Amino acid sequence: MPYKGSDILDRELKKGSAELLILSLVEDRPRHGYEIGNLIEQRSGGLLRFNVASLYPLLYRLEKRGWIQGRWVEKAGQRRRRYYRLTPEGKKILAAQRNSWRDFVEAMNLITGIEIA
Amino acid sequence: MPDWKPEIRVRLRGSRLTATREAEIVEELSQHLDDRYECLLSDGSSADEAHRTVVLELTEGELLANELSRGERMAPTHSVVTGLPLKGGRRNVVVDFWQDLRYGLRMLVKNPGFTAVAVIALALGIGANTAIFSVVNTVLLRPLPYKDPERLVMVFEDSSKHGFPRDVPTAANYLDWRDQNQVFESMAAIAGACDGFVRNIVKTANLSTFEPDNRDLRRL
Repeated sequence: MPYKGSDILDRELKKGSAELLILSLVEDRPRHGYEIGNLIEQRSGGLLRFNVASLYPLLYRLEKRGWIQGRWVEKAGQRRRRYYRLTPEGKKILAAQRNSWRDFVEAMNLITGIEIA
Repeated sequence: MPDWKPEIRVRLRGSRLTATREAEIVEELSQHLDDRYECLLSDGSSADEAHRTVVLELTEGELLANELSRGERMAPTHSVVTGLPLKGGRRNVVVDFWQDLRYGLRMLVKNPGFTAVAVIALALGIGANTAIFSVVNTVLLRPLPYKDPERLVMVFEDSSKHGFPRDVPTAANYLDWRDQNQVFESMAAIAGACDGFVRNIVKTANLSTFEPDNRDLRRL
């Protein structure tokens, strides 16, 4: 019988890290939703994947909190797209979340003995 | 390219978004699904397969409407207490007040029973207060309608041995008091009911001293 707790753990880990992932990806430059979703999948080697139903509610929530800001951008010959950029407040949150995540990972390593190469 | 908008609108039912907000979200999600559909086609999926996959991702766990609805309502990262300044010191009194006012009105409309009881209680309270204040103001607070009312005093005869520490003097005694008075500027006797009060003062004193500025018989 497969271990079901693993699915729950994966889902919870994904939920817990989603904000940090999105904030990190819009740190350097504004990106649209599809690009953010693709980058998460590519950079995680396919381990993490957010589809439309889970990604956009998250983006809107972060926007509502004032951590990212969405803006419709029209480019010649293309449909207008909504690009999200990191706000100054989002930058502070990102820094704080990075620290928390680092501490958490270190604590987990100390307890579980997992070493990251 | 399939038109995803009807599919998205169905999924957004119950998310309680404004029409403008919904239109924006539909446009954005529609673009995402277009991109995803093209990507699946370019990866070798057939049009049917790609369509099925995209719709499946959209409907996954009926997440969209719930999450959007939650996201629109629960955006603040901390609980908002009406009337208190925002975390980090940001504060706009007018905006806060307007927000509190609208919240209060919404709650009142939502609970008509409570609203009716509150309105009746307030109406009764205000009415009772007004009535009591009218009496207190007339009897206690507003000065008597005489010039320098704070200088008016009432003098009684002490008949404690007969059980009347504040007795009314006889007319003869009053006349003696008045004639031998070295303390008061002037003296007058009062007797009888309200209208008699005025009449008797007028009869026993000079008018310039005891004529009320404004004869308000209800207060005499």
